[in-house]
Amino acid sequence: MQRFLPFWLGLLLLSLVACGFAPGSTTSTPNDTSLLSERTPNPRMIGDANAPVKIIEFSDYQ
Amino acid sequence: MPQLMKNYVDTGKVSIEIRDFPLTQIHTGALMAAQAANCSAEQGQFFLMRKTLFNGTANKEWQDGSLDDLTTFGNYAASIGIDRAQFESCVTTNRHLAQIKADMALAQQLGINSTPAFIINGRLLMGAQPYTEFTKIIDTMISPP
Repeated sequence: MQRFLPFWLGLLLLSLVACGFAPGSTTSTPNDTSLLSERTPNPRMIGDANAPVKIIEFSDYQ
Repeated sequence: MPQLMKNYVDTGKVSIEIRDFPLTQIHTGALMAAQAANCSAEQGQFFLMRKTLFNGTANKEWQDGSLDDLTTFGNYAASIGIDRAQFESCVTTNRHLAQIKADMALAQQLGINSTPAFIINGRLLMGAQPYTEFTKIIDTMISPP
């Protein structure tokens, strides 16, 4: 019985990974519904967040 | 604006945040384009997609937010190396529509009615302006007379 233990443990680990329960697995970004402007770092900002002058540009794409 | 980037952003004096103000009444594809940019932000490529979208509209590669435009944006996503399926799911489910509407509401609250428009430490600057106009304002803010 003991010689089959690694097999069963391996199978269990594969099942957990397939279900997304692997140790260290994290929630992916697509489920994050927070506003981009409230995230840190802000993905729509360039430059030092502590810069003395902050420019906000409102733009259109056409 | 390369000069602004080199002399002010890269030196830590200025940060620039992009917000959306799609003029949907006259630019029917702008809302989807804003979504495309924001969905690219999820994958760390906001600025590259933004540049690609501007190049694309200049070349008339997309126009009215149609399914064809969605395909074009998907092609852009693939070309800049982001996950196309994740990107398209993000756009079609309007994942960042709330962000765009919040940006639009803020713009209207600030009295903005055209683009581009800039808020520089709370001061409104409307329209595409020459580099010197920015430096005049920024330098005064960094080193008040």
